[in-house]
Amino acid sequence: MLNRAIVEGTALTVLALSVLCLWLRERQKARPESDGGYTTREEIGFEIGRLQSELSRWLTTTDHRDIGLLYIAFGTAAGLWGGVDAMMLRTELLTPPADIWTPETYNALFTTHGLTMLIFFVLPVFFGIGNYVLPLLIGADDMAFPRVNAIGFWLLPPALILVRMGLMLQVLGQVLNLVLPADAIRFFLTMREVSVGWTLYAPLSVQQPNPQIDLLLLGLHLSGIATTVGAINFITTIAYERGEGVSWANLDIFSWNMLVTSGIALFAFPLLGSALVMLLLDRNLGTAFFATEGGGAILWQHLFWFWGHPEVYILFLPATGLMSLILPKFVGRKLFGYQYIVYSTLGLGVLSFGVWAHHMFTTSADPRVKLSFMAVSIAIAVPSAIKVFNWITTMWEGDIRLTAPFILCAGGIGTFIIGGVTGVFLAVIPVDILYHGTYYVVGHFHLIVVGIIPFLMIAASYYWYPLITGRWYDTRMARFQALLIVFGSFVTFMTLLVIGGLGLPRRQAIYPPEYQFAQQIATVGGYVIGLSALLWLYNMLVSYWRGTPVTTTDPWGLKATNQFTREWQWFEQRMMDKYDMEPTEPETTRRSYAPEAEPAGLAGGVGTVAQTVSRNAWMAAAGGFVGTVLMSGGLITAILIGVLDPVSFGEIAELVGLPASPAIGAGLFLVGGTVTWPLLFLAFSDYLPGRLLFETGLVFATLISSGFAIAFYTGQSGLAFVGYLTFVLVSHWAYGIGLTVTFQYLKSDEVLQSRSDGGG
Amino acid sequence: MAGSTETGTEHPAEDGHEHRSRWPLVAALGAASLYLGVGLVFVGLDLVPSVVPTVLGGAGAIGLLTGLAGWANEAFIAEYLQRGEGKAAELYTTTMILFLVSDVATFAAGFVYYAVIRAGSWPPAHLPPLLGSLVVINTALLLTSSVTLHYGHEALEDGNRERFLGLLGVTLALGVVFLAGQVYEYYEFVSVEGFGIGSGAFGSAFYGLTGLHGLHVALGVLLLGIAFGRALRGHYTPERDTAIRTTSLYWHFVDLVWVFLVVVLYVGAAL
Amino acid sequence: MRLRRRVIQASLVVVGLSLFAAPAAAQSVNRAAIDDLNEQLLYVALPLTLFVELTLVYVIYRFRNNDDPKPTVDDPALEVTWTAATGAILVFVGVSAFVVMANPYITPAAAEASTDGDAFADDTEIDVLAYQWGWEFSYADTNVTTEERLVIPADENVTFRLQTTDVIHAIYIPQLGVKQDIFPGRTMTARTRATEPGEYRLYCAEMCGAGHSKMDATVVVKNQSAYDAWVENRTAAAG
Ligand code: HEA
Ligand code: HEA
Ligand code: CUA
Ligand SMILES: [Cu+2]
Repeated sequence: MLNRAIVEGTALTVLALSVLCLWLRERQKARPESDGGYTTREEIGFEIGRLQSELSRWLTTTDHRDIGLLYIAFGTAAGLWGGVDAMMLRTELLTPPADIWTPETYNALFTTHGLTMLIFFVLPVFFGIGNYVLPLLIGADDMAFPRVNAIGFWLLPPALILVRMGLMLQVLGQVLNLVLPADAIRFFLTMREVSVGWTLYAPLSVQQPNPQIDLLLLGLHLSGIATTVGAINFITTIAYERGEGVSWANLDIFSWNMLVTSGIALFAFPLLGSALVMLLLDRNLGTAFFATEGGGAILWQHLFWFWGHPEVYILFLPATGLMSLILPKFVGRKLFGYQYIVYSTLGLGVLSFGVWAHHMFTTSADPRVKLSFMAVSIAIAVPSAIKVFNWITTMWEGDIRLTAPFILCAGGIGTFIIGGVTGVFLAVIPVDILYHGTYYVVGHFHLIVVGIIPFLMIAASYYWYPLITGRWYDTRMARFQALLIVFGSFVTFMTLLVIGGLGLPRRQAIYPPEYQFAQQIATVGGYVIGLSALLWLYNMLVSYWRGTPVTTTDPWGLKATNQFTREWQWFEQRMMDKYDMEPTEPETTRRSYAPEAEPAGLAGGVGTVAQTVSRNAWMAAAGGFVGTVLMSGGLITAILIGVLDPVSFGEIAELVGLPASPAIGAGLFLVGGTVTWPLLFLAFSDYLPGRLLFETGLVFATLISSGFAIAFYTGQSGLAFVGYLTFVLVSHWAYGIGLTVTFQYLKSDEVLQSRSDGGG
Repeated sequence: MAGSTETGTEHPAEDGHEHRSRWPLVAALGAASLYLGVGLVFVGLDLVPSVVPTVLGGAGAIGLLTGLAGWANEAFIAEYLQRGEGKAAELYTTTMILFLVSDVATFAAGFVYYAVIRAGSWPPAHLPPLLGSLVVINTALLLTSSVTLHYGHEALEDGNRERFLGLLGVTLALGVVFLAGQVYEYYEFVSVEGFGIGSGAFGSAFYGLTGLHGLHVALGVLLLGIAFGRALRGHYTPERDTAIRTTSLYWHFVDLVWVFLVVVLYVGAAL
Repeated sequence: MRLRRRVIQASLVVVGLSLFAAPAAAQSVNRAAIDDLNEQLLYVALPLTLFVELTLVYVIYRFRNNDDPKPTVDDPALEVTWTAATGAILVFVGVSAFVVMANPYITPAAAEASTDGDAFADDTEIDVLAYQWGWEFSYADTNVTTEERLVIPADENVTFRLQTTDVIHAIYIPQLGVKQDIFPGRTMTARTRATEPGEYRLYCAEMCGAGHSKMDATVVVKNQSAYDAWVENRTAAAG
């Protein structure tokens, strides 16, 4: 059994020292001594004086860009600390028994890992990015309240220290123990990292004697104050400090997301603050807030998740804002559906307060209450889906540049889709009964909190690195790092999804041996993520001194596609002032947005939205009906030959709660084929390969046939299996052709009609 | 916000000295030390000699107040003296409203707790006599103070300075008396009735909610005191009344919460 | 960028596998109901997920270094269509889940409330006591008590009355599809009807302190006669 305090303390120290040494060394190399001789006394004095003035600058600054950098540095440090915890977690899980750390240590590790990452890593980094670029994006001179901004930041380091003091005191205690008697340092020997889970469920958190819990609660409270203060500052900045020409209608998408995030934080964090104080009083003054005779343990869960769920969107929205901002730059096209993305962001902000009880589906609340939370939790997928589809459409017909930021954007969409869809499964109560408290949940949220969220932070760091430092990072290393982190995340967290699906509970240091292999894969994946984080850090630090200086005022060539946004204009001005640079002019420019043009979709852009929708709906129905009838031909043949079991149709009926008759099942099947799939096809047909509509239809049919093949499989083997697959595929092709040919027909008919209507 | 906006526009090369203030750090360190001090008390005086939390807490409180005072002075008062209403009054009003929204959430947790226990079997234990004359008097005091503050502000707008000063002073005095009443009530309950914060489910709700409200009144009294002090020194005119406006908003809000508290906590519990 | 594509392809295979992690044959009616629902949802979700992921990959492949990019053209009709399509799918998800919710094994509380609490009078009743860190099972109408081993009859309705002596625990029997948090001061109910005799794992699924990961037990499902014999045996031993 290893000593956790010493190992983690050492790891963190080594990490911090390497960063420091690397920094100092590069800095030294970048400014070599002029004469190569010994440093004289004056020079040392000069160095010290300069350090002093630098220190005082960083300690007293109220400039939004400085504070932004402070936030980012702080968040990165916290992220690395949480990352070290994660590596230690994964190391323990290499073997089934608890043989590296004790179970108690393991509990402490995931508790502090969760809290550090969620509260001290993500939000500070996003507040930092917001601080740095948001005023530039909206043309403000600074945040509305620069000093309050500074207070908000400076509250965070003490908050983190309070929360994680257990480790520091433990390390100190072990060192002191070498020279002092245990009695004199009882305080240091008593304090340990908190080990009740990041959710701090009462009554465990009330009953655990570890006094560090009190400090942790106060630290979290302090961080809540900092967050609320920051949120107010962002809202007022966006509302009142916008520069000329920036209106609500053309406010950039990142600012919109920061606005909604701040709005959520404004209401969520104070409530958490009160709940934390209530817990503190319960622990120390004998109040009954979460005691059985008072509000009960369930009240803590309600209050916690009323904050906790909005909190995950607080983390998520800035990432989507960055995605919507950065992705178009590397696609050379303006963001598709700006307006709808803004609506979806607002929608998420509102809905996020209506789903908290989905974390409590196994607590046996009133079933009707649970159902309403289930409904909203499912509905919350709609705004997220809107975002995903708009992003993918933005790439369509664009000119994609495979740079590191782009890879991270694409990888982020990829992980988020899976993380999100598994979230919808969790929102379905009966499924959640099985998956709650298992690694499935861990997989679900890590695909988002390690997927899209840090990916986009890193993408942003690459995208704005030239703007912040005036230098380039090593772009090859960056691309490699991007691929590595995407790869590592998929490997790690998809594996966790699988073992969670098989039933392995989370938060356990000890697990049954049959899961060992999967756990090891996940651990290797976790190490890969850790490695890529270090690569990123190295690249950032070294390039600050050694990167190639930026020699143009438009490092990403954004002018060529009219995407030279305000923060880059500010950069251009600065480069002109500082280095007498000429504004870079692109050789050619092309349009990236054509508001007046007609969309080329199936609908042809004719008529109002309502008209198109109703027309789409009936076209879908007609096409779907024809397709399904054709398809039935194939399926009936398959049944006759005996490779498809009609009973499997009965199962559809049964699942929807009707009698298990194949006839009813077939009816339902027909309805699905007539309504759902054609609508989907209409929505996506533009994005499927194939030039002619019927080619597209074939691709679509092939895709959905895979689902059918799996769902209706009844254990056929050998030739029957081959026959089954063939018939499934062929029937679906029949469906696809039926569907699309009907569309084609209806559409040409319509075009003719609209021509004659329009008189042209 | 004294210098930053003005100078920021020119984007001085690597600006620096305009964007400086030492108060944020002082305030934050003060808050940190205060929290640590309080935390160490909870950790247990058998583990930490009591001088440590006392010193930390005391120094922290002083630091926090100094930092806030320094900041307020730099951000509002110096600015008031130099440049008049720096930023749009609307900005400050909105900020106060945003703060109050967050405050609603702060109170909400306590009220939710109370709603949960009130919905359970009632009364949970012996209740102290809640509906005495003290509550009536205190409510009257607070309501009156809202009225006096409102008319005081109007007087300022009408240019009637004397009346403004008088009414502001009365408001401040009423706030102080209210706090004294609250302290007296606590004293009665704790030492006479033996009803303290640890006295079962209702004790938690009662002291939690009235305590939180009392803290708000205390902060309000502080704000009123500052405003009164500034007014005595001749600050504020009909056009330059942002601080009065925001302070009033805050005070009315606290008043409103009290009314709500009386209705649900005092009357609601006794019913 | 072949590497990237391979990576993504490989990942997609894993996606498919993971979403399909639910094993085929269920060992209880609860599990069967959940599995069926899960499968039904997968029927929609899997193709959909694959479809969106593949579109993403395809888009990148097709439009990287595109010589002829086109400007963005807003398309409200498209927006409305995909919003409506997502909505339609989600309605399907919600309705299917709703139907399963009525299942008296999945939501015993609902069934109990609608019949004034005597709906499960004929069930085999077992009192489960969770404590830091272990389980105690008492079999109603007998004086049998076991620890770390829960024995239940197959093809027979079983109702668990759950209590805890200290903090929150949660009973979790993956293969029987049973999970229920246990709150201090309350008695919770869980139900099942095991269909396959065998031995299954029982875990504690709520973080409950240092011994949480060791707080497990074995569930033994015996067919009726074996169960009766077992009870008799134990009663005799105890009595
Ligand atoms: C930023 C983080 C983040 C985000 C964005 C989400 C998003 C979602 N989450 Fe998640 N969640 C967490 C972080 C997050 N979650 C965390 C940390 C926990 C665990 C806490 C703990 O216990 O420790 C958790 C736990 C959690 C639970 C509780 C599980 C349990 O403990 O039993 C549930 C249950 O409903 C849930 C649901 C959802 C849903 C429905 C979404 C939706 O918003 C997702 C919507 C997105 C999509 C659906 C994908 C895109 C859409 C398409 C590609 C269109 C097609 C799709 C369909 C038509 C389905 N989450
Ligand atoms: C944002 C949140 C976040 C993040 C990023 C992570 C990252 C990781 N997490 Fe964590 N995790 C949680 C939130 C998060 N986690 C939560 C809430 C829990 C639940 C706790 C509980 O049950 O109580 C949990 C639990 C949890 C468990 C389950 C423990 C259990 O239940 O038994 C595991 C196990 O494998 C794990 C692993 C990992 C790994 C390998 C990473 C790796 O990805 C880590 C790799 C390191 C990094 C990615 C470093 C960060 C990046 C930078 C520093 C650079 C970027 C910075 C800028 C661009 C400015 N986590
Ligand atoms: Cu009991 Cu975990
Ligand atoms: Cu949630």
